[in-house]
Amino acid sequence: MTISVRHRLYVAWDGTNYTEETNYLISAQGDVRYVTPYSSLVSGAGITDQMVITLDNSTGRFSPLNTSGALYDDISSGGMYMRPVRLDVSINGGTNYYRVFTGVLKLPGAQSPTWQETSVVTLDARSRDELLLNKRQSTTQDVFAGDVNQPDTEDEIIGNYITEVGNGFTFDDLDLDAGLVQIPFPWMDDESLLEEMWLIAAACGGRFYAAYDGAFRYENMAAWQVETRSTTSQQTYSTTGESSFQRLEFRYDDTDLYNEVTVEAAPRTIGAVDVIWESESITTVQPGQTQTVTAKFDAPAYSITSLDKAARDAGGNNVTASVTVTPTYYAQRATLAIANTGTQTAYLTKLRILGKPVIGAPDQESTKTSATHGANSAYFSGRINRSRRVSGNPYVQTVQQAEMLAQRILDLSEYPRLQFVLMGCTGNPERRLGDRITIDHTGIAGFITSTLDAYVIGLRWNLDNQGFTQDLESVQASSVFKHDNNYFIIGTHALGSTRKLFY
Amino acid sequence: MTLSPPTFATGALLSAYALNTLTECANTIQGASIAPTGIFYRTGNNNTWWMRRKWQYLHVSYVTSGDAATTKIFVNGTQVLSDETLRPSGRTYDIDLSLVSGGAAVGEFYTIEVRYTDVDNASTVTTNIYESNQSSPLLNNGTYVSPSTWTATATPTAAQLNTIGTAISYLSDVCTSPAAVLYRVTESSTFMLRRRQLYLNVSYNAYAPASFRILVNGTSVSNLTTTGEPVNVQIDLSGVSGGPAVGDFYTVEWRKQDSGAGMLIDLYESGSTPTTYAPTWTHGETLPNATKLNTYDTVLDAAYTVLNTVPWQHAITFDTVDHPQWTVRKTKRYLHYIRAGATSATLKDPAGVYDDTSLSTDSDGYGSLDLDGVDWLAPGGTFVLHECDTVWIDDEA
Repeated sequence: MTISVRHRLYVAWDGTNYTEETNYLISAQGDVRYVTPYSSLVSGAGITDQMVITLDNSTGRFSPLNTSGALYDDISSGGMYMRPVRLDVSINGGTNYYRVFTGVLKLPGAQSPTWQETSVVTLDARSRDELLLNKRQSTTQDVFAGDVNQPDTEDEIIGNYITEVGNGFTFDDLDLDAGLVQIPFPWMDDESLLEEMWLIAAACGGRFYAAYDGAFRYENMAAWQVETRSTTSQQTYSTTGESSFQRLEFRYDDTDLYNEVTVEAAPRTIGAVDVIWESESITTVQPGQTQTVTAKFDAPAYSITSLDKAARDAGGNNVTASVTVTPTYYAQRATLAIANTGTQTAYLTKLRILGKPVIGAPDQESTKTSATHGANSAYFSGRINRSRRVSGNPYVQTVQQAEMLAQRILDLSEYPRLQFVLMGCTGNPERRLGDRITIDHTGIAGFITSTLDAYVIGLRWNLDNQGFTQDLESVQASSVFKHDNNYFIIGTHALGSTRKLFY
Repeated sequence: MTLSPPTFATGALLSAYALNTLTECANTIQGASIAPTGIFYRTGNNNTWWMRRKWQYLHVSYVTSGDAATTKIFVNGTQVLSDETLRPSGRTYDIDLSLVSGGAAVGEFYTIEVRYTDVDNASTVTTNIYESNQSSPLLNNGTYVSPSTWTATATPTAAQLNTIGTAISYLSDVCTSPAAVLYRVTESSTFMLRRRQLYLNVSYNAYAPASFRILVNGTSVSNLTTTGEPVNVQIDLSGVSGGPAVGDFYTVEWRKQDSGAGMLIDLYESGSTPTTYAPTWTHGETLPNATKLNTYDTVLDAAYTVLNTVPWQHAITFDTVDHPQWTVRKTKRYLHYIRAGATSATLKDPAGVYDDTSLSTDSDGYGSLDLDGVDWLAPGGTFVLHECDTVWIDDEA
């Protein structure tokens, strides 16, 4: 059977309007993978997704230094940076296209023509989470207090953070699984939006990333046991036929092999009214001037009770009445615009904020061991004990949450996991991370006796004039969930069945 | 107390974490249902009470009879009522605290003063003062619906599972327990309580010639001439003729009938600790057995019977006599008090074993103490206060 590969490449050079550049595409390579398949439980990192495209620049269309180029106005002076790009691929002659990448461009590299080669431009692209990586954000104090009064689950927190006014995103940009955990005290303090999303996801056993279609995706811990793509095999890869691979490698991975897992929790509570910030230096404000001071709190503030100030002039006279302080409160900081409306230089001898701090520290933890809470302690008998400690995630705020995570990580970690690499597969643009696939090597005896299911955890793909191929990395499904495809589904399963309770 | 039960969705996996969150909520409510009840000190005199605002509405009940009397009520010094009509059958006046000029915001302390003027051969008594979240004592806070239960082979739906969370949310306000503080009296006095448990326990010191009677809702339940330090009396409230049902307000009168001295030193309810509690769950548990899942209904229904539908708290008498004494149980973390007199207030071990703790105040006479810092005082333990003009215990500092 002949597979007819087609593709469509679009770039929004002006940031908004997409232009089709299909005819200029010479090749594209992509690499998308979980940032180590299990580490989201620890680091929160979702996936890395990048693409490199090579464009035919024989007309000078993509030369940022070509003043007569059609795109010059948009791409000169680094204009390509962070411009949206997307690539669709069809393997049935264009009847159905599937998105394989949505992201933004990095800065280009160009190669001049030689007597042997035409001029090309190479563009590196990253998924849309690049847009969040360097964006720093602080939660306003009133939003924080509202979240404390009415705790949200992780999906709601992620949604609220990303769609905060000024970020330029709406709920249409999101694809969030329902949250599993209420987080009592969520806040950001001048932190990277993406890294914070990773932390929240990690604290709940989920994963956050920008998906192939550009949506900011939160997969909760149960996603691979709920979504059809992950519960039902999407494709069988075998040594022969249309869905064949050229070579199969597998290995046992001991990177995350542990028989004891400890997860640290940082419970918090609302403290009594106290001084939550006090200036340690005298702020000087000249007459008619406004000075802005950033007050960093040691702990987030649930409420602000008062802002106290006192000011004197150089002669020691009280000029407090000439000083106005306009605060903007965030959860763990405030910006204070201090205006001196008087005619004397004002020295603020007292400047402090009183309120109710949220107090607490990472002083509790949950430990799960194979011997007591697992099923593979015999494996470690006679071998060295291996312990993992998960700490420093401020969104793990209850012992119950820590216990859930510890059990989950232990179940993931107490068996050596089988990982597979399927090299040179016939490309399928529908394939996604998290897909359940079946690996069939029974056609060649003596290697793997029976078929097995695995989750796709990495995809490298190549698109050029030779076609569309993929290398798939995967992990055996039964080693990811202890009761794979046998959990109790609300509204489906009956009491008294053999279905199991999820984490 | 804010409880946040999880929400279940059709098609989602039923998780141990979500069920354990329900369990934590349900057992918290169950615990609150056996918290000590509030104790209101009745008096016919002009008197002031103290309270920390939690709810929006204040209800002041009074009875006036005889020839003439004007009842005036002040909140933080602002007059909110002047009632010249005699109310021999009693009246409850409802006050929206959010509308009182100079009143208290939620979390702030405030005073309620009831003053009887133009009294001419009149009998007056302030029978009850309490806050609630309803504008009238006649109103309920919605309708409590029992959580779903399941048969052994039923298929639980998300909607059914969510009835557990709905019941929890319904009870989360109600289970905020009142400040249980007894103002110790040496003369005949009546208190208003709200029944939660089976037994009423009364302790008083009695010195010869002693004769003390105890009445519940006007029914005599104890009449002793025993002397002792103390004399302990336990009353089965279910056996009192005209006694209160669980959830009802009721009166307890401690009546001194002879010239001997005495002091009421303790007044509290007790009962058997509930034996049914919400279960815990673990990953991989074969799920579920209906009996275990149905425990939520049992626990929450039992708590609802006690807690009823409307959250409430009694006001505490303020500056009623010189050298006042109080009996308090450490059911909350923070002690708040006012002491404006020359003699410092002290916190005492009722057994007299441990040293007193001197209670400091600010320039306004207000002070607070983190009871967790009193080493000998265990959770639920009893302590005595001397010289506090008024007291309050709270979960918040």
